[in-house]
Amino acid sequence: MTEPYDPQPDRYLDSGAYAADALSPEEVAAFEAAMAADPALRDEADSLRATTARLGMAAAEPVPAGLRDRVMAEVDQTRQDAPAGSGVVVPIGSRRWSGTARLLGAAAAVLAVVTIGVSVWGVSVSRQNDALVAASAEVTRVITAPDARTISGPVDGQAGRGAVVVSPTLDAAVFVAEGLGAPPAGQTYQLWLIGADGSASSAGTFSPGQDGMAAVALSGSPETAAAVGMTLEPQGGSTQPTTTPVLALPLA
Amino acid sequence: MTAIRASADSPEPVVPPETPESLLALVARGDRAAFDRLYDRYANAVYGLVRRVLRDPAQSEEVTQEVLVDLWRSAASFDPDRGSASAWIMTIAHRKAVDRVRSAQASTLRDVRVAQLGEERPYDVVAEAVEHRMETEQVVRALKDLTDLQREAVTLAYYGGYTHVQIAELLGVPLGTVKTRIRDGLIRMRDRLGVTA
Repeated sequence: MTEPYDPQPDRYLDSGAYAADALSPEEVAAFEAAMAADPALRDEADSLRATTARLGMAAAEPVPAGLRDRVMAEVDQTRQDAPAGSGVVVPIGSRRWSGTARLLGAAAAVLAVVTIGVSVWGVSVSRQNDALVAASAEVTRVITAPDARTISGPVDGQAGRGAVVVSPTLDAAVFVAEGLGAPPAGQTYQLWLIGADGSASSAGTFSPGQDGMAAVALSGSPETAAAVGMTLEPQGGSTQPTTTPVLALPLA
Repeated sequence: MTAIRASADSPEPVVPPETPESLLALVARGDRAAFDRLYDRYANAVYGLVRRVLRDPAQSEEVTQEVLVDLWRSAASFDPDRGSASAWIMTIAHRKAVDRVRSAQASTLRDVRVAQLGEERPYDVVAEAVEHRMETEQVVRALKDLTDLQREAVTLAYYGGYTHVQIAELLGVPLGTVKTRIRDGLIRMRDRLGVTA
């Protein structure tokens, strides 16, 4: 078996439970992120879905007579969703990614497969990236929080964009980015929680995937922070920023 | 009457059968008549599966309505590259059913379901509709072809709507064992049924 990508063969163990909807939401998120990056895993899961569908069809029994009229009446008053098109547009709580869909492609692709229900399985998650695979349950938890807010902005000197998704109730935030250049040799990107008084505390270091995407959970509490900043720092990170931020996103 | 008989003697016009996929494509464009036909084709399957998981007829009817309206609402998101229309529809139906089972409000229902567990042979399903009989027999045969342990895990998960954690608790076996039984069982069924994604 050639497994060029998947570093976690145990994900294959989950394919049956996934097709039978027997996984927890966190496991579903992890499985679908792995599936988005591994066509062989996706094919297996799709074929087992097709198999459970046969089990479903076999359970058919006559539907109660009155249901048809009620369904048709509701359908007559139900607006249809627009075609998904090429972009992945996923509802998050009551909001939609539409405006920042491209930027948040990585996050949205994760979400596309997290949301339980209709929008999930039919959405084509064609975008594959390292960040997706690395996306942890924490990232998923924050970006699917009902009160998640997104603040985005361009990265200085680059075509890339970054965004912070913050959930006040979870007191947690994640950083997602697209089009980030690889940091210069010997350096790393570092995220900072910046207080109203200008004090900075490290929220972690990261490197974007080869496709320039990133999705990382911030360490520390965003509750008292006024902004999130990103700097280039020597490999291993710094205790305080040593360069001018290439991105600063106000949280207020 | 005679006229009708006469025309029935003439060769039947060749109309290609409408595939579920083409039906969904029409529904996605807002074709209400196509939705009527989709309903005729899938309402029994959706209801049967939902009732299999939920058991309670009133709740099953409610969830079935949600599923069918969702088919109308989100038909445009069906992606034929990922599988058949039937698989997409049954996935939506199954997820909605297990969502209901796992929601807090359903806790009472859950108690009833646990009490009923084991009363019914999991693969003892007989579809009423004649056109489903062959399909059903095939599936029942494929299910019988599994080992007892595989069949138990697959039916508890899919028809029972239990999570692998719950199944592990029910059966007193490790999580990995449950996952393996479900996966091996489904792979065996898939190959037996000649299913392609």
